[in-house]
Amino acid sequence: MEDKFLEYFNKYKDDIYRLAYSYLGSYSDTDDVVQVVFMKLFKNINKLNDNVKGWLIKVTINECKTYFLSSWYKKITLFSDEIDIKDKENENDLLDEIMKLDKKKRVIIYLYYYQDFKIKEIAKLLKMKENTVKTNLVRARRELREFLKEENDEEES
Amino acid sequence: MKKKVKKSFNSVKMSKDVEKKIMDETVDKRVVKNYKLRWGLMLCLVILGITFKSEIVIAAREIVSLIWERGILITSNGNGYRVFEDVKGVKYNEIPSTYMVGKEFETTVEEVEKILGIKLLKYDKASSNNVYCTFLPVIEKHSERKGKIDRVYLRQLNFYTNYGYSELLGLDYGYYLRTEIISSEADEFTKLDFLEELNTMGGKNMLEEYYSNNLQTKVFIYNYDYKPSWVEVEALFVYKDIRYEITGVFEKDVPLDDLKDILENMHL
Repeated sequence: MEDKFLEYFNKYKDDIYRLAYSYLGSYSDTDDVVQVVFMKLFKNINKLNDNVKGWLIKVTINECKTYFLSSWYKKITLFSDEIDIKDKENENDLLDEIMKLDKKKRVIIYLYYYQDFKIKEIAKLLKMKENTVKTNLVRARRELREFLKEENDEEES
Repeated sequence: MKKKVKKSFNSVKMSKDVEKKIMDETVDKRVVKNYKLRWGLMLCLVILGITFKSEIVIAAREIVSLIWERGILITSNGNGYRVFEDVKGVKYNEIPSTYMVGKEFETTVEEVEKILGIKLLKYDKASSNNVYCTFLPVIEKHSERKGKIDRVYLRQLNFYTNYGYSELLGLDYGYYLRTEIISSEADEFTKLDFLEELNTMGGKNMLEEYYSNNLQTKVFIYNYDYKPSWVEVEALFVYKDIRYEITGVFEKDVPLDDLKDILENMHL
């Protein structure tokens, strides 16, 4: 059981961490959520079928949603007019730009470009309509392309 | 772009500290078993839970009744729903979610019926009487004040309830019912979107279309033409101006007879 857990943990820990980070936009919140996710994996390891990665992604998304709905999170947002969601500077500009997008777009970008999921699969995972996923993806691409274009122009000059 | 996005996310990694914490809580099992503290904490949680639950119900009643009759003051920021502003009836601008407070709450079917003065279809074998209720507000521009969102009205109200739903391994296997009610004040875009679910059926494979004697309306049963790690079948129908969508999510096959049995045994 422990070997199996360690195998999956080492294989997927960073993917799951990135997914949670793309959703939550904060390293400290991500640390909390991934701990819950892997605790659940440990408890359920013997009941899982082959698609452990799919299970982990689904559980992570659910946990991120729950985290946003938590009374603790609501209290924090209620007492601060504007939350600075970054608690640590990222080392690359593109990631900073991605994290400036709203959370739906960030997750879609991550699942589409990093995890190579199809639009239909993303729609199902996030419980969204396919058209909503497409629209968000188009808008996110547009925003990022503008940034990438500026970056290229700067490099050329 | 794909390469660049991948490269940018590669720098995001789990820290050694977090890894160690997870190991401590799982494989190493170095959990400190302080029972006194645990019982004290549980007692506090129970008290908090009771207080919080009653507050939620009261808040839900106030919020929904206010919005249903149009107009609620949004006074604080927070993360919530994305809202679209209708500009000249054609273009839709997104209002930043930071202006909105998310409104999702758990309540009961009875509470919802009482608040809205409607009757929702029920199924005797529902595993839970609880309903997750979300609403989609729309901004109403009564105020000339710039940069302030003053009033919204309810565009659409969604309820989720579960039939045999279980949080099996964190996945929502079983049946769940989604109910959507559309406000008479909804814009044309929303109304069209509401109706299109029945009319266009884009990207869906129709499995069965039949007239339900129980519901006295046409029911559409369909699935999707892709193969995720789970199987999903949906039944869609409109009953007394409320759109119902029953979704069956399973690891393998979803028996159609089972789904039809639910449909034919629903009642007010």
